[in-house]
Amino acid sequence: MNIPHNVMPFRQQRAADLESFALLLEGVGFSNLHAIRDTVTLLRDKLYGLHTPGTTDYACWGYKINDLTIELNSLPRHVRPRTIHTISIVIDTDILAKCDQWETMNDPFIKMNFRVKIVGIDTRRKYFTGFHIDKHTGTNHPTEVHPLYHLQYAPSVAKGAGFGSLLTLDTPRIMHPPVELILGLDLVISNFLPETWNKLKNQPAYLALQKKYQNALWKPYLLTLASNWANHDPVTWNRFDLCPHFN
Amino acid sequence: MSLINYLYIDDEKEADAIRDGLNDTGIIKVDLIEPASFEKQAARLKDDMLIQYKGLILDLRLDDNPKSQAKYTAPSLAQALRFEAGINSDLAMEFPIILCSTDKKIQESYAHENTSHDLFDYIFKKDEAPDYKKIAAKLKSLAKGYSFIKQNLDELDNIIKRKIGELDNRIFSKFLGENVTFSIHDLASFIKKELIEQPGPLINEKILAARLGVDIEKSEGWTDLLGYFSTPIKYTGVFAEAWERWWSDLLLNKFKELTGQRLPALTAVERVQLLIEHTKINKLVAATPLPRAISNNFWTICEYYQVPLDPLEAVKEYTNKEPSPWQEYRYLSIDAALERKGKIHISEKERLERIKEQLESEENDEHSA
Repeated sequence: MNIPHNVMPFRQQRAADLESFALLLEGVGFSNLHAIRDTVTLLRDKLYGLHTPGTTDYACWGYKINDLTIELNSLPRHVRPRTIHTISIVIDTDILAKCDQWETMNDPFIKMNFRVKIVGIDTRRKYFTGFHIDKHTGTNHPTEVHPLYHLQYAPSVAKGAGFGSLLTLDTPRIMHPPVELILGLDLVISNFLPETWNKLKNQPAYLALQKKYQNALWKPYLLTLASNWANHDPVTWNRFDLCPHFN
Repeated sequence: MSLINYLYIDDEKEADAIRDGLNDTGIIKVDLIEPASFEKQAARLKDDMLIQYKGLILDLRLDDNPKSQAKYTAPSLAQALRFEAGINSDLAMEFPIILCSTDKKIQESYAHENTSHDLFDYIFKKDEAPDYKKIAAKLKSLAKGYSFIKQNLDELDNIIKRKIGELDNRIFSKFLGENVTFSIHDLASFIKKELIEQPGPLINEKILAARLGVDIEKSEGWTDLLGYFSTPIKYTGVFAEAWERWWSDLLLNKFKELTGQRLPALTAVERVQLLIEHTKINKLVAATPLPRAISNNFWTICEYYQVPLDPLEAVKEYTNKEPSPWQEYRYLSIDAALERKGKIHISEKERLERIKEQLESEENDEHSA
């Protein structure tokens, strides 16, 4: 395994960011963030090789986090059925990116998937809903429109749970800028734990982390979209991939 | 092999029976003496402990006998010994100190006062038909653990038999770094109370079974399964002989290696099916939820009923010390909480109320139907 010399410092930086992020979350009452801590350890471990699929190029960073569980201490508004007494959110994320694509005007990720499963329970059964934000990387060319990065409402119903009166089908894929754990969890917390989010937003370290990742991941995305109307010289990303509705 | 010797200081009437009970196990050897005055006792202990004892057992109320010269309690003597060992960095004076008393006295004069709890390594009650074998095994393990720590003080990896680098770096941070000083008792007590006794990186057999989805009582194959999962996930560090624990992160890895699936996402039935399929251990039965619970995505246990629980249907238990971020809470089932068996964490009051209303309205529906 031949990791290029500049990759480990880059991975160290991503690990340090995730570690600070976990610490900030713990400061506002999150617990059981082992999954983030384990990821930090892996990113720092030289023996843990991340490489471009199909090649032996180890110039990558990324991580896979499963079952990161957030318990909601109070119920969000408009929960139906009204009998639900407890809700928890389970996050799975899988990202892979080339280090040298960081903070460029190009696509930052090779692979990106941020999946949010929401489970509610009452005294009779469990209920499921959820959504994901991901990068469309399929080699097949589906007929439905696929903005390269999109958010899709997609309930993850547990196997054998039955669907009740729920109708499921492919729902619209709505354009959404790329996220990784730091930006993705911000979306989840801001929507489901607004009080916690306000506490986090009072902390300069939290804001700085958000800004850093928005700058690296959202700026190229949004400037590429904006380039449809205004000329942005550095943009090298194909805006038609991001928004198939452009013509 | 010679037995590990403990010195036992007590002058209450049941002391002889306790000594004999412990000695009859053949696991440790206990010598009983009556308490002397504080100064005399402290000085004498220093000589005695150095020569022949590996641990000390103290009765809580050494001041209870009007005929005795002792006018002090076990915590004050233990405090003096710990302090003495600390300022002199005297390894020979570092040994486990065990507290014993009647349940009533513990409730009256010990349970309400937290500052002295850190002084003792283990507590047993004299009036509840003591399980001498269990107590002797714990005492032996504590004494052996102290000795091992003394000999391997600079090798935490060796003390807990796991690479510290693989764990959350906050767990042992206070024991690592240049010019960091701590006593053997600090480290021993931290490992036992924070790492072993509180669920977190290490889990006990009941939680292990909950995570594997197995009903221990109904599964004849449980012991075989434990054997199957012993390497490398069983904890083999200090105190492991008397406190059986398993590494929670290694359990997930091992299950994934074995079955290709992620344990948390599966129901107990699916977990047990996969275990049977891949280990060929057949006599395993999946655990089922308590009457007021419906989910079998078990991850923790009800501290009162000691049976598996899905955290969605678990209520945090009251604790006088909030867990560190790397530790887990203990939980009660909805059943136990509603029956007022055990004490709930204040943050769960509202949720429990919601659940109670929900259950009551269902009962009403059933009656009116």
